[in-house]
Amino acid sequence: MLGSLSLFLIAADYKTNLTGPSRVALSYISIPFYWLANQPRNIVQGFDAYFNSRETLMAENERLHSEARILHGKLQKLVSLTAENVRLRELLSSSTVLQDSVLVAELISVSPDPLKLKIVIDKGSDDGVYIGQPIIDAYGLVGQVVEVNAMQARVILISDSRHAIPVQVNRNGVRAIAEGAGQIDTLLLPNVVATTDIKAGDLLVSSGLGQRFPAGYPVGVVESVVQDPGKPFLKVLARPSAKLDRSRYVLLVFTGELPQ
Amino acid sequence: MMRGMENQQDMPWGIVALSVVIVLTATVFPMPSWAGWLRPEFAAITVIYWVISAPFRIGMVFAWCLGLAVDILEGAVLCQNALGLTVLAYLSFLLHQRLRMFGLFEQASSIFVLVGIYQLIGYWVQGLTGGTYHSLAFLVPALISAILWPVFKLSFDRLRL
Repeated sequence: MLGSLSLFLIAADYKTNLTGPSRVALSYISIPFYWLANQPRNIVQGFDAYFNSRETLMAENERLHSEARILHGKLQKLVSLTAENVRLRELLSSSTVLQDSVLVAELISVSPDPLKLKIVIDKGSDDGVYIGQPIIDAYGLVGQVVEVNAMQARVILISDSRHAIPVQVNRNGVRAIAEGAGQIDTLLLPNVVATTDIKAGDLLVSSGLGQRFPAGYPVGVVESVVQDPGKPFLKVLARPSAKLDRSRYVLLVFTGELPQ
Repeated sequence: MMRGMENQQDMPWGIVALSVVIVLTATVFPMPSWAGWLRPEFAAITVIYWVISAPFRIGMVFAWCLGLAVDILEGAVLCQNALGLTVLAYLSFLLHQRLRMFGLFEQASSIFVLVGIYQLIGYWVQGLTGGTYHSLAFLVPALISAILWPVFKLSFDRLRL
């Protein structure tokens, strides 16, 4: 009996969204376990911070200051470039590029199942997080929100085998779809015609088609292009730009309007 | 091995609850990404342990609830683990008299088979719901669970005293 109930629930959960509200309600029970599982690390980090020597901190401070100076320099240029871009777009009377705003979130759990590339972050619908929201880190696109409750959200990574994202080659604008390969550091580009101009080292950026991800964020770098003469399509592998297995902090992107 | 029978009268429900909390925490305990396959199936081991030691008190309903909690923690399709653990509880109930007679290492080899079946059901459900995986790596956690079974068994026994 429990077996058939399980089969029924599997079907209901996968094929319909009847279980959505109860999933959200049930997901609150996971909060204390994530908290508990993170305690050892928090304690170790606390000790580390406490016993950090003055020299280390000063060196780090110095490094961050110089990094901030460099970034500010680059930012000045960016401001004028953005303004110029907007003016040119107005001249062409095409739609203006919206400014994206971001919110920093901390990673609190990684999926324990090695076949599911999902993470849990510490921001939820209280902070304006919504399902389908894009997530980036300092280097590129990370994934999108698939499940959200008031305090935390679950994010599917772009390299999960159930995820795909429309991309464009930055060099020439060739469009493709980047599918996850189920391994954290690999993306697959299926159905790329053999005559396409694409080569190893090309940067793939999100194309904004599909209305899910904002355009122009780096997704990955093409790693290898293999042409099998017997097949109509190329075998293209890419490596995600975002540090999917490293970053502790990710950024939630709010396209267009601000969260508040 | 007879302790299970004695405890039919006074079931240590506090210890059961404690083991559930420990197990669910261990299930989401952060591990380095290269060690993803090396995590033992804590939930499966707990279900087998309790079904063997109190077969008429703890059974499929317990397994189903625990499985649902694991599904929620992992963000899996609802009932992926619940179904697997229910089947696992049923199989361990069928085998409990034999398993009790076994020594630790004979038990461990049965654990490998049982956890392997549990893993297989999990990957079957994942396959039904859109995952595409072709690898036998999913048996590695079953092997790790079997290797660590004596440790779990002895520490759980200790916990109950």
